[in-house]
Amino acid sequence: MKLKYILLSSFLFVSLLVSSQTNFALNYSVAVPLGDTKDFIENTSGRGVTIDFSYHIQDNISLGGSFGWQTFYEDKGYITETFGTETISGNQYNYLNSLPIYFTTTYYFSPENFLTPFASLGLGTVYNRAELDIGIFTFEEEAWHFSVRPEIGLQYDVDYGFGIRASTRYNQVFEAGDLGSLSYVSFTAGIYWEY
Amino acid sequence: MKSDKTMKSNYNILKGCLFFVYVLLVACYPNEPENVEDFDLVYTNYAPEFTFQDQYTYSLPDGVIKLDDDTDENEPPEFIDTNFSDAIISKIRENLNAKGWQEVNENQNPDIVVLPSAFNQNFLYYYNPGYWGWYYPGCFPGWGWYYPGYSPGYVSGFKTGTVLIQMTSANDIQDVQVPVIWLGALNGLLQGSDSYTISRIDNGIDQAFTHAPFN
Repeated sequence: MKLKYILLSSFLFVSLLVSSQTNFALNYSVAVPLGDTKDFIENTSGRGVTIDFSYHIQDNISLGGSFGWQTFYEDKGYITETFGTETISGNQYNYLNSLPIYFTTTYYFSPENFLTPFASLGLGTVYNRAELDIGIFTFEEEAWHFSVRPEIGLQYDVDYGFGIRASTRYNQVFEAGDLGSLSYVSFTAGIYWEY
Repeated sequence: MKSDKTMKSNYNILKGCLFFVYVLLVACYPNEPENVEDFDLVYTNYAPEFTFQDQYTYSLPDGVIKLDDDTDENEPPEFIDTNFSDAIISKIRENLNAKGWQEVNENQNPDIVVLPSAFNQNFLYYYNPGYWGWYYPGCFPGWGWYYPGYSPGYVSGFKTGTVLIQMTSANDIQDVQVPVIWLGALNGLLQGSDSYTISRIDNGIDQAFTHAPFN
């Protein structure tokens, strides 16, 4: 019975995708660390990319997915840290690789115009790998976090089925495992295709 | 209805953009440390109950022994190159004298016996004290180390060199166990000229004496 529902849902979902207008976007992303992310790495990351897919279920509403990769890095310089009776000194380098994966729903305020503001909400997960290098040694932690990502932006239809877009995203990343709330705000600029 | 020409043009832009993103991510991936000394590490640990601020007498051997898992404890110890050995010993002496400690011969009942050693692979905190049988005052067969009130971290690696300095309290030996009241380990890549390596070792030893409990 359960299998029947799964098959039926899958069939409906695939039908929806095939019959819908599909939007594919490629974005460059600059991210500003917040909270625990900022405690670990203060530098703004200029190394990010996201790929978004969305399927219009109505002219002004789409469902989709978003995948990305953002790399944060900071050379902490020569540091000395003490833990109880232990003290360690050396050059420290911190890295954070963040891979967000979201299901998204997007609302387009004026889809009939060339220039369309939109608002989107993503729900999903972020895989984080935080790495602290000191001397020849690496201390690594990784976790899958639950995450929510509201987004607002603009997209402009340059040519039929092709346009440019820009947005601001707030990646709220909740604590997981030994990693804290590694949140950040990202500013994206990209291009999209519709077919 | 969009034309095939437009579609093809858009796909070409897409391919170009994907390539651009790939180049961007690869080219901009964060740099690793570039210099050998960027990998140098100084680690210290100590017995919390020991009062380091008091004035002590200490002894230092003339050489730095080379630790090796394969060395038979009954064989005479092997020493590292005197260039490095002299630099290590004189730097330790300089730092201890600066603390007001007084160097004495090992046969003059020193409070602290300082044991410098070096090795180039696994970190051998628990190496056999028999290595020091030729030097340490008193009987040695069957003796072991203990680290009172603390446990040293474990470090291992390849193509790296480590200088391990142990300070032992000769007055507190219990049941043939030698208390190591302080240890300092300098770890780094085994690369560069002798003078470069010596300057890195000197810096490392100075750094170790800025750590607790000497700071």
